[in-house]
Amino acid sequence: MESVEKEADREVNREDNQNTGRKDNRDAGSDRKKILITDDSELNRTILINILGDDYDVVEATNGEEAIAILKDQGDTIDLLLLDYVMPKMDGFQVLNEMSRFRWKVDIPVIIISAENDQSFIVKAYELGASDYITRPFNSILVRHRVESIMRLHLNEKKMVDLAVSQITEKHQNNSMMVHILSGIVEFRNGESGRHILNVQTITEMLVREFMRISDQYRFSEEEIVMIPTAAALHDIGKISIPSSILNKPGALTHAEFTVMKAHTTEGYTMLRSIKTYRDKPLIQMASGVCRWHHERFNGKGYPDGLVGDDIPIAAQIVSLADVYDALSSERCYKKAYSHELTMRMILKGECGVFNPLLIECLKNLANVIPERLRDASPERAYKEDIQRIIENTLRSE
Amino acid sequence: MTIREMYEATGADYDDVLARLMGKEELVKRLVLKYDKDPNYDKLKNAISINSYQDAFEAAHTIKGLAANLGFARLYTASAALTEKLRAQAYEDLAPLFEDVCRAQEELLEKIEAVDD
Ligand SMILES: [Fe+2]
Repeated sequence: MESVEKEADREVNREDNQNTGRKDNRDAGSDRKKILITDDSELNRTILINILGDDYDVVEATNGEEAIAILKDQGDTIDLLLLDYVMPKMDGFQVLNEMSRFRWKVDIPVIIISAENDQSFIVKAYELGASDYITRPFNSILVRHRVESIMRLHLNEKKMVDLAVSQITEKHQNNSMMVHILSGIVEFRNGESGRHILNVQTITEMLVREFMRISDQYRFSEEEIVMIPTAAALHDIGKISIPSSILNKPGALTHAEFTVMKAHTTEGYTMLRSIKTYRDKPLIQMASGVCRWHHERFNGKGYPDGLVGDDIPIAAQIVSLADVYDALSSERCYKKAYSHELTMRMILKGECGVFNPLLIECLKNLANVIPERLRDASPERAYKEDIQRIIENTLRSE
Repeated sequence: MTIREMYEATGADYDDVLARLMGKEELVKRLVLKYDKDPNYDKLKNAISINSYQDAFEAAHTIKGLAANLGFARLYTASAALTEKLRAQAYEDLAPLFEDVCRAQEELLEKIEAVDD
């Protein structure tokens, strides 16, 4: 017994010095795979360590919160998660939910272990994204086998997805590149941070996913989910027709100047709709709507048309909230950057107008992950993630 | 007594446990002796005494899982029944099921006590 505990301690200590290990060199070959065992019962962890400890490196978490903290810290080095269901603080399903919020589930397969053997419970586990389910009492041989095959399966799928991603990326990158160049030109001319478009895209996508999670009001297809952030990239494209003396004016705009500024919405709409060849394409339809209505407000107090509630297309509603968040939290020619906390407070107090309450709910739910996601985002990464998701979904629906 | 005798004395299937734990007698013994110090039974007793049912559910559920894996048949049956009662929030008639768990636990600890080191 003594030795098991020492072994475990050593493992945990070793972990502390290893946070810099990246996933990429992990696949190099002879490296031992690493498993995170999450169970509130020490004895249960001991049993699993005895079964798996010879073949794998093991890290332990004693509850869901601890597991999330470890994943946040060193998720890059973990190859599989063994997850108990009933735990204090945060149960196994809540951990799965958190993981999908952070998009870790794509990288780390999860096996739920529980004494629950109710069918509906097991189905729920799979629905939440668990790769496999083991009931207690389990057989050690079965545990080893499942762990090994889930890891192999996951690695194969990852290889396949990576391959497809690189091929599709090759083909379609020009497309996305043009959108980025175009929006980049506008951004540059606006004197914006250079990350504004990317931030708006990142927040838009997070909001879309969270919106789907909490509400049945809209069912976006995977293609639409990719399309909304692309449309978001074009939201301010109409600014190209606004004189830069107004665009980059440090102080407040006069009434007349503001009237000119407001026209960037209809200008963008007209620009995109005037391209006859593409006018009917879903992306152009959506993007032109986003251009025109991303300054509308839910109570009808926005511009240019004063649309109310869900008369404003949902894509434009989402982009407008993302736009406001990033405008507040970034530096602009007329203001300093506000902290995430102050930004949230101002939006929630309605200082930037009224938004769809459901979207506000989404923003609140995402509040503590947004700053981190914005720091991590890059155009290449966002693009690759989009493609990856489309492929994963295609594979899954086959 | 030996570990096998201990299992047989509690009406459990030792060979089944052994088979599930890689046939390692030494490992089964270590885990069984460790069960002695597992805090979940105390947690359960405590939670029941103050009507803290969510904690009681968690502890009962964990005991059920442990008993399943370690092949403690009686404790498994008793704790499984208690877990379901707690899940169904049928708190009025918990007492007899809780007493079953207590009896199974005490009988088990008594037998574990008697295992030679
Ligand atoms: Fe705008």
